[in-house]
Amino acid sequence: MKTAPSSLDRRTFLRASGVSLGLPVLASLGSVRRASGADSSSDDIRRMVAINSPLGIHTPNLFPASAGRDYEVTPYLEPLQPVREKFSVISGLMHPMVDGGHSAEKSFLTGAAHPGQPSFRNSISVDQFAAERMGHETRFPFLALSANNNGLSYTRSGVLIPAEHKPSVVFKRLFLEGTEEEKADQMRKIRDGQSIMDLVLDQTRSMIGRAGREDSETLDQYFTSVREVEQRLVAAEDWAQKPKPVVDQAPPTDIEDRADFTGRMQLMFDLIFLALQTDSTRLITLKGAGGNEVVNLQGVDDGWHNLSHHGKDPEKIEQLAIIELEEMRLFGAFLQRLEEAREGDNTLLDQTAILLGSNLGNASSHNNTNLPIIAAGGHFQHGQHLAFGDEHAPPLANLLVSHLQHLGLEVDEFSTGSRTLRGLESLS
Amino acid sequence: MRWNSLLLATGIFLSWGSLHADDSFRGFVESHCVKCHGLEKQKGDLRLDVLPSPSSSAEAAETWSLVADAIETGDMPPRKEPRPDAAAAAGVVKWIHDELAAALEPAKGLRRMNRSEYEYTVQDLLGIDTPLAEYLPEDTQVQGFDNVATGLGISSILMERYLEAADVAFEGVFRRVKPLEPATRRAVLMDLKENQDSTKKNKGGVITRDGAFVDFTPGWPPSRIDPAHPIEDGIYRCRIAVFPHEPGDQRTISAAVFVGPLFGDGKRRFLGMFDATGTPDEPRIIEFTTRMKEGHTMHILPWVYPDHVTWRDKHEDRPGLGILWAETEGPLDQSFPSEAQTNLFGRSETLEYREGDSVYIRHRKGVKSHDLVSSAPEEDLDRVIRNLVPRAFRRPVPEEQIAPFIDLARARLEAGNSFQEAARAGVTAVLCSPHFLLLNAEDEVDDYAIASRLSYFLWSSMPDEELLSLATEGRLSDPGVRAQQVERLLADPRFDRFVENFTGQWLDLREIEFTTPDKKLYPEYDELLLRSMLAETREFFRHVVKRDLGVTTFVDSDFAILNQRLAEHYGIPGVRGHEEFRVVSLPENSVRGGVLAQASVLKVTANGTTTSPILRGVWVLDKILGQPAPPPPPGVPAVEPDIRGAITIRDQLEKHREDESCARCHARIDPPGFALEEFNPIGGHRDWYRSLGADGERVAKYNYRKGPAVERGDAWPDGRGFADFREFRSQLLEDPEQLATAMTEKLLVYGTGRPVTNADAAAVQAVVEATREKDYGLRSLIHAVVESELFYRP
Repeated sequence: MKTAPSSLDRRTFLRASGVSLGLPVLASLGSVRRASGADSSSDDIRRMVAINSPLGIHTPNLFPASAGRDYEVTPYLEPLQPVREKFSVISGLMHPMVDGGHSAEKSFLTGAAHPGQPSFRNSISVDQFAAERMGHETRFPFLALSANNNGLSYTRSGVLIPAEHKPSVVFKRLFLEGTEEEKADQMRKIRDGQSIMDLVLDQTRSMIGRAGREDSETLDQYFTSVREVEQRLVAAEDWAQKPKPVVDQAPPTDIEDRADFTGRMQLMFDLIFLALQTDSTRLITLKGAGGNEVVNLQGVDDGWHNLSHHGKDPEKIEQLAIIELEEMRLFGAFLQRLEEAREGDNTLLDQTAILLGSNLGNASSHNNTNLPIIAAGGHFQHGQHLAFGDEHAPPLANLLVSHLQHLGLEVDEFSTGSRTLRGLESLS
Repeated sequence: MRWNSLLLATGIFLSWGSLHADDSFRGFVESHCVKCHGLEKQKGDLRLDVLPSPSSSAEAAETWSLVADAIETGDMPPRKEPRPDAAAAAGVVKWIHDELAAALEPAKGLRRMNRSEYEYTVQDLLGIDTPLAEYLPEDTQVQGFDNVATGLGISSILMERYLEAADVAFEGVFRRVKPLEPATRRAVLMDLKENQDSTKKNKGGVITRDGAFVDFTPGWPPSRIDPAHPIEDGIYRCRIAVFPHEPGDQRTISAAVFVGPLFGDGKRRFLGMFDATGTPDEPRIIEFTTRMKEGHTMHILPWVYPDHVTWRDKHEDRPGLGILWAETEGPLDQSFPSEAQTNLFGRSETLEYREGDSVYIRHRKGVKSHDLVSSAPEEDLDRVIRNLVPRAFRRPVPEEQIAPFIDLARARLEAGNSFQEAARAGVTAVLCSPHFLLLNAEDEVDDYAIASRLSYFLWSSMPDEELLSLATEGRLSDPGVRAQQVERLLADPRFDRFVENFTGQWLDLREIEFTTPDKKLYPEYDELLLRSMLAETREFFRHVVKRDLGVTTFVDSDFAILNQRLAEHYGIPGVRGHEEFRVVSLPENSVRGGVLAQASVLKVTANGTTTSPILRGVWVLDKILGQPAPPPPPGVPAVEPDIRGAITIRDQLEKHREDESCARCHARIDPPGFALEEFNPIGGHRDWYRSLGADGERVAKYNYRKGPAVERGDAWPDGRGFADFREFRSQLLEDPEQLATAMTEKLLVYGTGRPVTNADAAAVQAVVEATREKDYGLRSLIHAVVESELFYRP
């Protein structure tokens, strides 16, 4: 935290008190604090990544038949074997009451019930929940990325957060200093933005002040959003004066062609790695690729989405497996890269709790049970197939609680999760 | 929370008496409901002999609403139980609707613009055509539309995007470089060595004849026209000379034109598909005017149907597209400074558009950028903002609301920014203000609010000058004036935005590219067909509006609006050319007519490979009948399709319907789905399923085989059977009022930007009744929606 303010105008106060403390919603969360050993002053920096495969993962190729530490290697787990002790494959989990086929992706990190229903209201996603508590510690409170359409992150009021699609744009924001002229321009924009948000905040306030508007959710969201931007711009002004981290990698070139799914995902994984390694942010969500494109992998000649609706046709399943194996190969390489990067006594993988999974248990029938889930990294006892039966399976959100605790947050429940995931023992 | 546990929790129990439940309601519940939803049993955790008032909680109201829906749709009482008297059931439903209307607060209309409204509004406000929607995220749909208040959430990231988009829009106002005199730039294709090289090496099959470049596929290599590329951004008149190569007797060769960068899969804008007619000596000259960027090209692609796809096509020479030359003429827009700049800043002697830094443009030398400077910056900022704010806020604005923007711009000036940058801050602030971004923010619905409601309904944008001046004169409170204005708005080109947004969502046309049909099963599917499908449905919709045809037209019509590609797809002879869509009369017994038999609808309701009666059934119930099926109960596995041909879909679904809880809804869902089974995933009519299995008769030239006979026909829940789609369709027409009600609800959701619930049933009914004399004509319905009380809610 910075030195005490010399004068107490509002903006100085905001700057001094950290970005997120100004939020009214946090006032009630005073009891939640970062646990010892994981604050920003130590080198035990905890992170969390969550990745969704929107078209499912064909579970017969993923789940081993046997549970426990001696599980047999399935085709999809093959690429992850180099880090076998650093991940667990988990079968039998779901978000209770989360259904609706593809629409369930909205609830993948929120657990909000019945996303397919007309009256659906989403709730906060796990990364945003964490960002409210620890986002102010890094240049970027979080990164919401997508190699697809919409992302995975939702605000406290259940509003979808627009995800970044272009690695080049994020890279620039994270790592490129820009010319002196660009920096000056950036600083002007930040200051203009602060004045603009000030004015807009006043106008929103007076709109709320008019009779009958106190209960307006729209105005409330408007007000909160403007204030958050104002606070972020204050923080941005501070960060703008600090040098950005230097990485020895050229800025990426975005790949527009969705058929080059390997290239697109690789760019995202590279970006995530750099963002974590440089501690630019500690919370990242990624919605993976997967749409109607015919990806250019040897042996694939049908659209990915169509293949996921394989209707048990062995030829389609075979093609689908080519794509999904490539997904797993990319993911495995990402895990290995994190494992090879050391940070103090740990590896970057140890410091990062990672969730990879899908909202679809069986994409062909669009069901949302028995989800394909891999938990990797973090300080957990991994190296196992955690198999839950149908009857007493805990909610998927319990895994999210485990991951929140990995971050050092003193949290016992999140969404439908009421404790950490049984069978996934914490190492610290 | 289920409501009875809610009751237990809150201790609210209401007796019959306290609810003023009338006797008929009570009698109905006692004879039809309490057996399962009473003291002894509470199926689905629902008990109907003690009812919480709908005003007691949102959950209670929701439960009431579901009860009304279940009775109205006939889902309850279960079909094995004695049917209630129809009039009694209708009475009960109405009674619940009235209770809901009395109890519930009307839905709030206050909302932000959605992304397309934002783009159109800013473009119309500033007089620019800079794309802006791409800076904003997609919006969420509620009740099927993305302009509904409850779906339009606001986050801080969105607010940052508004800052960014406003900055882009402000920059779009300026033309920084003085344009050259208009010039014609022409490329003769075979004069270019890239094309010579391609034909010499026969790349991708291309050849040359009669001095033309002849291309056969939309793929590689591209036909190069580099000398025709504009050397600066601007508006250009484009001409392309084409002719058909070996079209055969029946075929029309189509030249599809896209504009965009030459290389990369980046953004290409579709300009149209043009019939290649004429000969090498007298070619067809395609002509259009469009905005182009420096160095961008016209992609001229042959769309050939039927194409030669395999070695089997030896009966004729390969058909292709001959391209002789292409040219661009422009820039046609010569205003400098731009009109948008003059609109925003006005003409003042204090302003100077001053030459500044050099900028690099590939084919121009010594080009200077320009910056706007002012000799009286404070006064000019004051004037610019005073002029902008009332237009941006779409109403007169009191001084205390304008002043802060002027203060802000001046403060930025004092902080050392240039005049232009200070103006940028001021304009950006206006575009981020809640008075700009929020709609329906008025405390009361005055004439200005009416002006905005009309324009956002029919144009997805701000009101124009005429609407605003009528508002100033107080004349929009006059229904006669409003009706005239509706007519004017419908006739304006901006009404296309309505057609695109409304059909895109009502009929799910936005999802048409979500799946691509399996190439082996549906080799005849191509982009020409895709574009034709979309055009058919939009043209059809426009036609229905224009002629005020009844909503029944959407179910059945004695005409279709077709081009050759679709006519052939539908097996209708005598239509030549793909470019023009024309009204074609259909024979009496045609399966075509109405939207249900349109390829676009049949495609969006299928996935690429298979059709599902469930998906199509759900679609018909929601979109056409306005009685959406509730989503499947949690934990019920979906029917897993099996395309190996082992089990028929009817066997699967009949098995499914044996389960009572499934049957409750599937008795309604499956029949319309089965009615549409005789159409394949790309809208072709079929007698048998195509199969990729090993069994079945081979089909000449194709990879698929003749699979089982198609499933046809089914029966409505009330037992009325239908043998095929045509019988089903005529039965649908028996209740035009239901069709009109469904359409009215969609129009009201879209038109008011708020959810329409059972509490609004009476208002919906009023709209329907107002158009009965006009046979529920679509144009009349639009008028009636504008006159509905729902349109004027605060």
